[in-house]
Order: sequence, then structure tokens, then C-alpha cells
Amino acid sequence: MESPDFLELFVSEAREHVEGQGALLRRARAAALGSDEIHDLFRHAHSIKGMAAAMGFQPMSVLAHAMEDLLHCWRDGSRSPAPESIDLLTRANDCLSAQLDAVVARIDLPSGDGIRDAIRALSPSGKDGAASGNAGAAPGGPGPEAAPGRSGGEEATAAPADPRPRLLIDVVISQGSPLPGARAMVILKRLEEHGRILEISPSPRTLPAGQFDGRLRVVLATNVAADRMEALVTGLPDVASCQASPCAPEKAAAPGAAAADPAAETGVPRSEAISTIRVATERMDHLLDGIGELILERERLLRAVEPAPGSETGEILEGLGRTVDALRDEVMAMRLMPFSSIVPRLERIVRDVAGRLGKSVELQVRGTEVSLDRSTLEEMIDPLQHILRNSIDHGIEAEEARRAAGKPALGRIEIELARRDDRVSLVVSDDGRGIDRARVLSAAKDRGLIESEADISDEEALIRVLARPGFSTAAQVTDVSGRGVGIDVVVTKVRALGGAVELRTARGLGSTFTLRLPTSLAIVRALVTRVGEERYAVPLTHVAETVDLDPRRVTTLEGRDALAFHGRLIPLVYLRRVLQIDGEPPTRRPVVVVGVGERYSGLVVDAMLGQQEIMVKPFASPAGTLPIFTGATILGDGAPVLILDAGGLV
Amino acid sequence: MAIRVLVVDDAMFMRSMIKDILMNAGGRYEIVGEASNGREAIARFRELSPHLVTMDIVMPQLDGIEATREILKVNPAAVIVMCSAMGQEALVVESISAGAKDFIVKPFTSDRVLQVLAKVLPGGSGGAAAS
Repeated sequence: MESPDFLELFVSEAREHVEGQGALLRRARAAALGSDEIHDLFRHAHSIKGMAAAMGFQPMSVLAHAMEDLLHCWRDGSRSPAPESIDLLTRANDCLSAQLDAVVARIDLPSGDGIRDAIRALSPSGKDGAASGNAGAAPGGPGPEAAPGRSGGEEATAAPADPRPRLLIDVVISQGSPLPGARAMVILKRLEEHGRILEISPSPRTLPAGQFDGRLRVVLATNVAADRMEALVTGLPDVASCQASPCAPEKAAAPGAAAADPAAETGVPRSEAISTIRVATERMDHLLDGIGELILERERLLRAVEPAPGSETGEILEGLGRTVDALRDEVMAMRLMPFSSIVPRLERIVRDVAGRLGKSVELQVRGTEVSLDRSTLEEMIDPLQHILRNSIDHGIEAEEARRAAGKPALGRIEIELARRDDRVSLVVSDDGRGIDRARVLSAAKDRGLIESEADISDEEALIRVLARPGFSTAAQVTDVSGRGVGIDVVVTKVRALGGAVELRTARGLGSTFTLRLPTSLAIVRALVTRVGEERYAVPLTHVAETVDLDPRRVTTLEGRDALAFHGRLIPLVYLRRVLQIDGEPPTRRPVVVVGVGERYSGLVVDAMLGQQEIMVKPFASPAGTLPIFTGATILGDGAPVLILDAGGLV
Repeated sequence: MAIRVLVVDDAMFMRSMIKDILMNAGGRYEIVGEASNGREAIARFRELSPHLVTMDIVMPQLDGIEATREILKVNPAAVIVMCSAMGQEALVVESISAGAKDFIVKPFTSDRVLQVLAKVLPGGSGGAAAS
């Protein structure tokens, strides 16, 4: 059990259960859950209990056990899902999530005993609730009505009270059979003639949809022996094979036995397992690294061979290029994960922070279907956490203050995601008091971060000040924020990911952070430029246009050189100057116009060397280096180059 | 004694095909009646009490699924086999849920029809004999 592979599997499986449970509990607040959903809740708690016990994570398994007992009461109708028990289960689920975090961090698990006791106080049967509740034939429990057809299909037909031995029956329907879903339904009906179906995978609901993959697994309580059952089913039309094996009902109750294979625990292997495999994220990273190398090798090969147009070598290289591109796109797509996967964590943060500060705050997330590269998504949790904490601590007012200001007592934070081409914008807004410029100004002066004349009336300047490491206006360091880490973390992280941060704030109305991020991070197309002797890459996602530096179009704007560009003036950044390169610049110089959001600037370089695919290796700028790089890459010829951070230069 | 069959289909051609297959099965089956819609099927069933009904799904007046439900109300032990076209999976699943015993898919082949029918009748090999 000490094997790290096991631990990883445990964490990812358990996380799925916790998140599934969280989603159902959220739904429970809005509307009464159906019996299927209550059963799912029960199943999640049950699975976590078993898995955690097997891994030796007692605090988790004990808590999940208490949840399971309460859910059992919901399921058999002896207790209805009242708001306070939904709250309690939500807290318990948050606690499970925190315990999982602790497992990952390899620290002691936080205890869930308090919540557990509160839950136990609610479920009358106490510790042995699940077991004792099952013993009798519960009135109104699943009787013959549980037939899969008649009830419209239920994944698992609740309380396993049938005393008959259980068989796990695994049926494969012949390839090419007409209407395999209907065939599966016939088999189910046939099995029902011989016993009681306890669980079915996949859900009978999916059978009419034409997506049935031909494999049906059923747990049947029956007196028919396994070999006899196999013969019965194999004799049916279109059955390619059937395997029946006894499965002990005790197994599910013995947590130690089943955790290695959560599927075995419930008796029903999950149907998704057939078409889905689980891969450690680390291995995905290796795969991506490999493809990155492959792309570099291809660029080098192209350079080394310089095939004549139309030659066979050229054709082969072109084919190779297409294959590599397709492979890259495939891996990039595999790495995309919907934002919804981190929503439960954000919700937990909001509940947690608001609870500690005694504020009521509601988090609304829209556009959760938008996907981002997995590592981007992971890296974003931290910055988002800072923004949320800041909003709740400094933005959202206490209830009385909100009432006095004519606002609803419940504070609101909204996160809205939208995708535009290969960028994702993530807008976090609150309806709090907004950022107090005067306070920021005086705090910044006190700390010697700005000159007293510094004007922070515009948002860009404001965020620059807020982003200074160590900046905080908090009169006293609260438990929640004000430790001086905050917006600087956000800005640094988002830039390192190739993105940019904007801030808008209005006194009394709230603040809005807009984070713009690339959907895929690791491999990007970039413009390679030369400044002095060195080459620098600028990711194409930021490049609006390249133009020649025409001295006639250069004017001065607020003391800086600016270029007339499509009817507006954009500031020029002379990279020779920024990079402190001596010597005479070439007479003809190109300008790379980069834009982030609505802001543009022109980077004056010495020469444009062409476009290339580069694999970004993000890094945190070491102290003493210019904060204008987001990462490094290796070019086709093997030379390392730095990647310019457009966000830091505009 | 031969198995008494009621053949229900709105297309006479399909009824003829099934009849042909069943009558060439060595005297095992006897066609006792035919119906060309669901209503007629229910009436014929009441009148004839066949051992087996082959039931088309899409028919005028009353479809095969409703007819199946009605017939099962008349006799819950009725053995009904649906006749379906490819692509009617949802309808077939609904029919099976409603209580039909099995299905055959058009275009019919003799072997296939006889194989399916053999399994649905009590006493057919495999079947429900074990319970």
C-alpha cells in the first residue's frame, strides 16, 4: 500500500468521488434529489470509506462512514434531506477534500471528528446504521418495481437486502449483432426471471441510445449456480460469451479487501473502464516533452537538409511535419481539462474564507466548460485563491456595511470564462467596496514602494503597485490575507503562464480582475528575433503585426517614443536599450507590435529571423534579471533562447 | 402439438415472409391468425389465445408497443416477439421494457427467426426452464 502508484490512484479516484459528491450536494440545495442521485451520493461516500480504510487513512474513512450512514437514512426514507443535513454533508465533503490535500502534501490529516459527531447526532441508527437498516424488508423499498425496464432504468437498484448468493455476470454480445442495446435489455429481462438484479453496468438508461459497447455486467442475487447461469445466458441469441462468478456481499463491507480495485468494491466494474484509461499526469508530461523534442529535431532536420521544393526528401519531410503536428495537437487536446474540474476547490476556498471572516459570500462560475491545459489549470488555482481571498477579505463588506450601502447582504463573486481563439479570459469580479486608491497610495508611500508624486489613478498603475512583492494595505495581518502575498503572486504566475492580468475597480461597486491565458501552454508558435548578438522569441499569441520602423511615423507620447499604428499611437520599446546592448543599431529595424488585451506596444528589434514552434519551459526570473522573460526554449539549431514576456512589456 | 402463432404486421409482404419461414419449420408452428394493426392484434389475441405473437412496431392506428402493453394486460404470460427494422433500438428497448420477450430484426432470415423464437417459448432450450 506504500507504493506511490497506489497513492496516486487513490487520490485521483477519491478526488473524483469527493467532487461527484460535491456536485450532487450543490444540486440538493437547489432541488430535491431523485432516488438515483441519492444513491449516487451514498455510493460516493461508501467508496471513499472503503478506499481510505484500505490506505490506512482513518480520519477519512471514519468521516465517510458517518456520511454513508446518514445517506443511508436518506435513501431508505427514514430521514429526509433537510437543509441542515445537506450543510453538514457539504462540510464533511469539504473536510474530505482537505484531508485529500493533506494526503498529497504528506502531512497529518485534519480530523473530521467534529463533523462526524454532528452527522452521527443526525442519523439515529448511529454507527451501524447501514447494516441494521438493511436487515429487514424495508417497506416501500425496492420490490419487484426495481425491474430495470419498468422503472425506466436504475443503475443500481438500492438496498441489497436479498439474502440469496450474488453472481457477478459479465456478458459480451457478439460483434455485429443487430441492436445490441436491445439485446442487452432482453438479457436483463431474462436474468430477472432467475433472481433479483442488484446492479447493472452500464446503466439501462444508456441502452436505447445506440451507444452500448456490447459488454454488460450485472450483479444478480440468485440461487442459480454460476456455471448454470453461464449456460443459460450463453444459450441466448447474440451472446458471444458469458462469465459468472460468485461475488460475496461481505466484500463491500470489508474496507480492506476492495480498495485496490474500487470496481470490485461495488461489485460492478465501471463501464467507462473499457474505453478510458487512467494515465499519471507525469507521463503525459513526458509524452509532451518527447513531442517537443521531436518538433525541434524536425526543425533541425529541415535546416540541415534544405530540401529542394518538390523533391522526394521535401515530400517526406512535409509528411513528417504533418504527422508531428497532428501528434502534437492530439496530445495538447488530451491535456485539456474543463475549468469545472477546479470549481469545487474554489467553492471550498470561498466557503472556508467567508466562514472564517463571518461574511456571507456566494460564488458563481460561468463558462466552466472552457478547457485549459492541465498544468495551466493547476497553476491557476493558487492565483485564483489569492484573488478570491482578497475579494472576500478586502472587497466584500460585512453584512451591516452592505445593507447600509444598499447592497444585498449576500456578497457575490463571479468567475466568468470565455474562450477566444487560442486564449481564455477569466474574469473574476466581486460586488464589494472596490479598491481604495488613497489607501493604496498611502500604504505604498509608507513602505517606500513609490515616489510620493506617483499617480495611481489609472488601473494599470494601480495593479503595478499592488503587484509589488510585499505590498499590503491590511491594517493588521489577518488570518486570511494581508500577509503581503497576493496580487504579486497573481501577476507573476499569470505572466509565467504566458498570460496577462488587468484590473478594473470602482469605489463602492467592486473590482474585476481579468486574466488572459493561452489554452495550451507548452508548445507555441513564436517569432524569433535578433537583438544584438542574441536571439529572442516572442510567442505569436501576442503578436499583432510586424512593421518596419519608419522614422517618419515616430512621434513622442508622454516623453516616450511612439509609433502611429492603425490610427493610434503605441509606445515603442527599444530592446537594445532595455537589454543594455551597446553599439550601433542597424539602419533598418523591424517593430514587433504586441498586444495584450486592449494595450499594444512596439518592440524594436534588430532583425526578424522567422517563425518557429517552440516548447516553452517556464521559469521564474532569477533575482537580478530583467523581469521581461517568461521562459526559455531551445531552437531548432540547439541554441537556447529566452522568451520575451509581451505582458511585461506592454 | 404445434405452437399457435399470431402474425402482426401492417405489410402483407412481411406477414407472408414470416408465415413462410414458420410453415417451413417442420410443423413446429401453426399460423392461427394475422393482424395489420395494433387494435386488430389485440382483438385477434383475445379471440385466438395464441402461444406466440410476432409484432411489428410501427403500425397505423395502434403501434406494436401499445398493443404489446394491452395484450399483456389481457394475459401477462403472453409471449410476444417484436419485429423491428435496423435503427429502431430505442423502440425495441421500450418494447422489451414493456414486456416483449425478444425481437427479430428485418430483413429476416429463416435461421435467425427460428433461433430467436426457439428461445422465447417455455420449454425452448435454455429458456426459463431452470426457474
